[in-house]
Amino acid sequence: MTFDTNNWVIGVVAAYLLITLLIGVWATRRTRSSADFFVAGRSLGMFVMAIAAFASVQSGFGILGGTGITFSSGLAFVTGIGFAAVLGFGLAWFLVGRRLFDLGQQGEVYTVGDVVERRYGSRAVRGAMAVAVVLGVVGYLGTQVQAMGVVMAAIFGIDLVPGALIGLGVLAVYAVGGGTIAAVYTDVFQGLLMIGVSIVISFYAFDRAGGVAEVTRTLREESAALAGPAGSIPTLTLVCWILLFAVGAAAQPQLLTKFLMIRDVKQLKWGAFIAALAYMATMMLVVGVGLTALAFSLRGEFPELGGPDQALPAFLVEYTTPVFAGLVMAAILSAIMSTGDAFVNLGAAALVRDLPRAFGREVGRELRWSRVAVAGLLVVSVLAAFYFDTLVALLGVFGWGTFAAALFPSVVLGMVWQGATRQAALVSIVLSLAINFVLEIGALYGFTPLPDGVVNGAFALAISTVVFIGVSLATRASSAGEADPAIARHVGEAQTAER
Amino acid sequence: MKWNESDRLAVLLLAVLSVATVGMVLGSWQLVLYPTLLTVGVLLAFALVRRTGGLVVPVAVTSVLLALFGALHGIGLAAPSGEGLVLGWDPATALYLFGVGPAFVLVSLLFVLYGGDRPGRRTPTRKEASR
Repeated sequence: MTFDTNNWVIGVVAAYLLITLLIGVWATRRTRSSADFFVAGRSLGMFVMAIAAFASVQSGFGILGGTGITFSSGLAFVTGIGFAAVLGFGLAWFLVGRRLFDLGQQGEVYTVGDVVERRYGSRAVRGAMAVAVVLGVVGYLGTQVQAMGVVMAAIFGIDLVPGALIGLGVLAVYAVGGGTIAAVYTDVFQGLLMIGVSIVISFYAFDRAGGVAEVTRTLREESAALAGPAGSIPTLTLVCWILLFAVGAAAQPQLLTKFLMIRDVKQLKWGAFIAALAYMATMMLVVGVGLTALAFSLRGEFPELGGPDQALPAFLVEYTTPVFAGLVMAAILSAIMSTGDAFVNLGAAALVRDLPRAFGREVGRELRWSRVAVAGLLVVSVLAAFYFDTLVALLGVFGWGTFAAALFPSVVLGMVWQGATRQAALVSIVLSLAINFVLEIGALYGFTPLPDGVVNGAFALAISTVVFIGVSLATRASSAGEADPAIARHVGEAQTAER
Repeated sequence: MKWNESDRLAVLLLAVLSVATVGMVLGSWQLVLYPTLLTVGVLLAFALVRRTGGLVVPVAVTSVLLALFGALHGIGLAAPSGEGLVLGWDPATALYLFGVGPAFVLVSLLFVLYGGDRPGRRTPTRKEASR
């Protein structure tokens, strides 16, 4: 299943890659300092920040994987993950939007490591956070690499490895040079492309299948559950996803760091609403194509697939025009690359800034070494993706859960609750990593202590938060005054956006 | 040490997430779902607790979510009936897509309306002001 002989598809995708590269070249010329590289010089307006935030959260997993899960199991991905992430945008803005912006005004605060060190006055917490971020980044980036390989192979009719290398080559050119400025402005281009294409193809897909009611009837002939909100996924999994992706979305570092990038507090006001609507629009693609492809498959009108992830490319091949297929493929690449660029910058920041500072050292020429780190992370992610693909798939799931379980208590709760302590932050970060790793790795070897349907990341998130609160309550008497007074003033006290 | 509103909210969050954890261990989706909805309310309360009428938004949002998911629970979140269509969808799916989805988006819109800093900021009580 490829578009290998269709020049229209290749032309549209090549044009997309060229535009992305040109934005990267422009951004590279604007990147002159660490502040530019890590937080886009704190220059972002409301719309740019909101679209970049949405685009960095919406990934290849969301578009390609989401359509695949919908194709195989019904609507649970949309109702459990997609909608919950939309709620997560609102929670993030309410909880930490203003507080992180205020903190960002207190000097060189570029990373979540900077945030937690300032918040808790502890280099150990910074170091633990850096480890969590790097582990999550490697997992998440590895899955983006694999998704990139699948899409590029479908477009150009080449193998997965060269396909991924071409796509990553483009990503490397603009991410290495332009850092966060490049990531943000390519995200805006990529995000708008995703929104437009998603809305159009959703209506188109249902129209091709004879309308929503026809699709529902076809699904019901197979089973009543398939047309329900949870599809054929266990209800327990659905509600675990809601917890993990609503609360966990507010703790994704690629979203949190956007609050450090805005030029003034007024830029917060409409951001959550714009990001939520944009994300919801892209869910329309997942619903439309996923359910339509499933209905076609049940009617015997859809090709046999090697796996559910091929459902979206197969639908494009079978049911759309080449130009439109090219636009959709560009939108899928957008989802992959907009998340990938955010993560390489986060990983670079953790490696070059947070880890050394956790040991009391600072890296000279931080900007140059950050570019080296970005290139290094891309190489490592390629190697990991294609030589340890099982592990990377594992780490992909581990990535979201790691960020949620490690960052939600220590960063999000830590910013709204003055009673949070450094001991609690350290314990919850280490515990979240341990639980995620034990459960995910253990599952490979048949160790599954939790009931069927429980999502490991949701369990780790709940446990790490409970432990964080418990340890904070137990240790707060001994930790009074641990944070910088200038920072403590913003914790719990800050409100949200100016009107 | 004295406890303030945020400390009490932290204890409430500890309680609801403990119930969710027990729900996961027992394999009960109901014991995960309803604490999750309460968690959303507690988190909004954390954000707004120091504002005048700061609990109105968390209580309203939580009530709406509990009502929507309660209705979903009743009409077949776990086991759709397979009867009737609403706008072409299964009734439970329609309620989710056109009720729960917009309600989740509404939380972001509430930030526009209630995320303000200056207006409505609660005046400290005499006791708080003297600390």
